[in-house]
Amino acid sequence: MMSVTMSTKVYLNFYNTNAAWVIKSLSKPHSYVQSAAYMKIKVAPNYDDIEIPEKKKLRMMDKVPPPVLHTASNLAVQQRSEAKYCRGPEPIHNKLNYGQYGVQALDGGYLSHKHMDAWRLYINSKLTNVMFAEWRIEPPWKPVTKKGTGKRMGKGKSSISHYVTPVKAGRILLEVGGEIEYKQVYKMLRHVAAQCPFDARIISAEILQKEEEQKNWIATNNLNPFSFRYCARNNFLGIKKDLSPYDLKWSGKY
Amino acid sequence: MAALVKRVSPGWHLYNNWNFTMARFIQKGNFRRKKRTLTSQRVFLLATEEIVIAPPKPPKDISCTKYKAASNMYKEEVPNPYFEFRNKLCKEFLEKDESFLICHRNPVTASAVYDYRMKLKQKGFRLVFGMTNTLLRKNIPGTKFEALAPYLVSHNVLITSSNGSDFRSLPALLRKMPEFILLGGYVDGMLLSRDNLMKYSKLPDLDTCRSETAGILSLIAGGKTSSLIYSHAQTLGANLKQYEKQIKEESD
Repeated sequence: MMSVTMSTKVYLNFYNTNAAWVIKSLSKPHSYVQSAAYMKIKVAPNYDDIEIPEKKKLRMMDKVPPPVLHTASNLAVQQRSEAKYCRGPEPIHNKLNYGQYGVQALDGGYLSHKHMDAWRLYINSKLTNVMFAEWRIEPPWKPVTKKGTGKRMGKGKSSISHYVTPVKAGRILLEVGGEIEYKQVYKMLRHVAAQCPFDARIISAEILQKEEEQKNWIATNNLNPFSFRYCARNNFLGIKKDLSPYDLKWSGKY
Repeated sequence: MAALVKRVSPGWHLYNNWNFTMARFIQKGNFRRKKRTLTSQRVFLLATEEIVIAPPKPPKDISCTKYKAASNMYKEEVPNPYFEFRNKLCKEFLEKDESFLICHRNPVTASAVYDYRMKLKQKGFRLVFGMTNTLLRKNIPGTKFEALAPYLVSHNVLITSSNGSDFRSLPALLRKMPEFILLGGYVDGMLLSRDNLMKYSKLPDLDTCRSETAGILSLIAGGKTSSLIYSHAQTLGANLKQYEKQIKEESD
């Protein structure tokens, strides 16, 4: 009796297993139709047009610039803290030289040697053999003065403490290129954009092209006959009282 | 603590202004800290803002799972040979001018679909899953199938006939398939909705219609009608009046 009960239990357990299902499905007639189709494979991008330069890594920037006037003392001269170097849009260095990826400033500001050294060390550690990076800003040249702690106002201009590079809105700070896609570059460069003292973003050639097309489309399909430039120059609503000369120049955008 | 007290105190928002607090200690120019815009400036900016009519977007009545696929219809297409191959098949299917029916497909198990397929095959019908809604929607405009667009929205299945079999027996068959819900179709050169299809299924055969017409025509030649028509004028008039009364009573 024990042997019979054991065999029934084993039979019941086998009936509920996957093996039983496989055997049952084999007995049922299947209808398979052989057919040929085109596989939807993602095509790898073509990198034949890209030329990788000899020097792939970011070079080191000097903390102190070489002296401009070669005098006997070679003393550095102080400068005024002028806002004209950071105000307005960047007219020249706002396009990508290598046509791939970069970091663009959206506001004006100053960059110091600390920023540049941190970015240089981080990016050089992340670059591979098929990638390269290049600076698009000058090394620090503008002197910044600072008074010592506890000193009172007056007694002349103080001495130079450090040097900075001024940056305007729209300027490209770095360029990265090679056999790489936007997603990989974004992971690398988002730290650079976050550490900037002003707003910055990561761009590619496609993004710039799309923005230009959108701008042109808006300019051609604009239905509003009252433009900022025309209304400001002709003092509509007496607005010249509340606008600055830079608004008249740059249409209130900078 | 002081900052908390400042925020909680009334009139905080009037004095939390850079123009009040940050008049001193600015060594470089104020190009970084944006000044608060005046109401006149804000009004001026709004009035001179660019007004543009945006390009059309895909309709929202499409189900959310297919919204992305439908929105691609409004974008520029990159040539894809696999899609062109399927497009070609769809065009050939429509040009054949075969009758087909569209059914909505509720969630079904594969074994149930296999059983339904066998039942339909026995009656001479064929289930088609390959003709997707996006393909048909692209190839329908400009053809006689344009009115079928509202049916090509959700998960669908097409039923065609392989041997030219009669579609009048299908509604009775589909009652045994509760997951397939009839929507409409193209049968014998006519676009039919669900109600029209049910009426069409109840119509008699061609042979029965022919026999009926033959019987009616034979009655005219000999029989009761001829005897009534050729009778005396008085009896004819009385018979016609009675017939008129009968029709009025039936209409009332």
